[in-house]
Amino acid sequence: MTSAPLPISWAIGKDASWIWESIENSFFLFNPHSGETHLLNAAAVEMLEALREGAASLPELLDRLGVAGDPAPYRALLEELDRFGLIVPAWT
Amino acid sequence: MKIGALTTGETTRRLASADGLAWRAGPFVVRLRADVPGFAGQLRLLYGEHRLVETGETNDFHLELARPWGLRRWWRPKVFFEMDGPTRMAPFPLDHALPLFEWGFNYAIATRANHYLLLHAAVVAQGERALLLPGLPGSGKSTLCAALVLRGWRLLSDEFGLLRPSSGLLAPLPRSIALKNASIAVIRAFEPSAVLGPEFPKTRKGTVAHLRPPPESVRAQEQGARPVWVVSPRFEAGAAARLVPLPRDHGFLRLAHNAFNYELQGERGFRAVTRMTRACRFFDLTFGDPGEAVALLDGLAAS
Repeated sequence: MTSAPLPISWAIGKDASWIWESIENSFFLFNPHSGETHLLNAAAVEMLEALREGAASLPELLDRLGVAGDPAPYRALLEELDRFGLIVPAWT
Repeated sequence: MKIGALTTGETTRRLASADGLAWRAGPFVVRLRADVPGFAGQLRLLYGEHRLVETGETNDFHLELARPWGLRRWWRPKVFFEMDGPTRMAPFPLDHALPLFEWGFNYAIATRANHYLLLHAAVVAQGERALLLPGLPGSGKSTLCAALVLRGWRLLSDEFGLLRPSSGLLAPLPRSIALKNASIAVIRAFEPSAVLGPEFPKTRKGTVAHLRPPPESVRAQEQGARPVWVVSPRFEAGAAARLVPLPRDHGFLRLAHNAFNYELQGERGFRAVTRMTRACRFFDLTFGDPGEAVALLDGLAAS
């Protein structure tokens, strides 16, 4: 029995023509492909901005963001962004 | 020519004719056929100031209050609401044709008027500055809306904020305000000269009576208004009126959740809500006495 390889990198989809609006302390993102609006916090926005530089693994992303310490919250955030369809796993 | 210029007999005859009766209600032309005893007089009371449409204008809605043939025409008679044919709306007792028409008209707008962002809110205005009152059933939205228009605010709608995405303006749709249960007595006490239609007991929302829209609001039904305040009311017996400001990002969520067709509108809806959020101030309002709430909102408008 074989199992699918785990994603070790994440990327923004090629068709990510999102519309952003910042209102007070929140970021609203409209995804024209899903028709959904997402309310994002600053950490999610920074992560998406970091992924605009190119696909990255979690350690690479944390490095881009200059974050040290527990990666668990960032891993959970990546999984959430994946569930929203805002990022895709880059399979190896 | 206004509906009120017709006699009750002429209104009855036109409603029962093949062409029905057509009039302008805000941005819409509605054409209604109805062969229901007593209905014409109630329609004249609530829509007397609305302008008749004779010919040459496109109808937005073809509606009918239809009486069934067979047993239900005579025994415990029923009436059906139809829009271009049968709908899924359950029939009402024949003597409840007016609330059926009002709810049916709401249904028609909610399902067909998707060129607007449809906010579920009462809307009143001072001049061209609009105050939206979004609220769930039981929040006191209609009671507060009635109190405001009885104290001089212009009625745009008790049910729909019709936002034109292209202009960011709200289109008026001044119709009757449906008061339910205890709020009927509250408004009669608040303003004894208020003109209400008959009370309809045992509807799906309890007893309902309709407050006639102010004639000057109907005459101004072509004057749009820009959204300025969004106040979410909550009636609480005995509570002192209290207005609490909300951050705008909360306001965005409230507007998006409150719109019947936000997702259907796609990017246009997102941009419209963003624009409206930036233009408005948002509040929660708790109140136990409509007079106190009106005074607070008068103060807000004057500030």
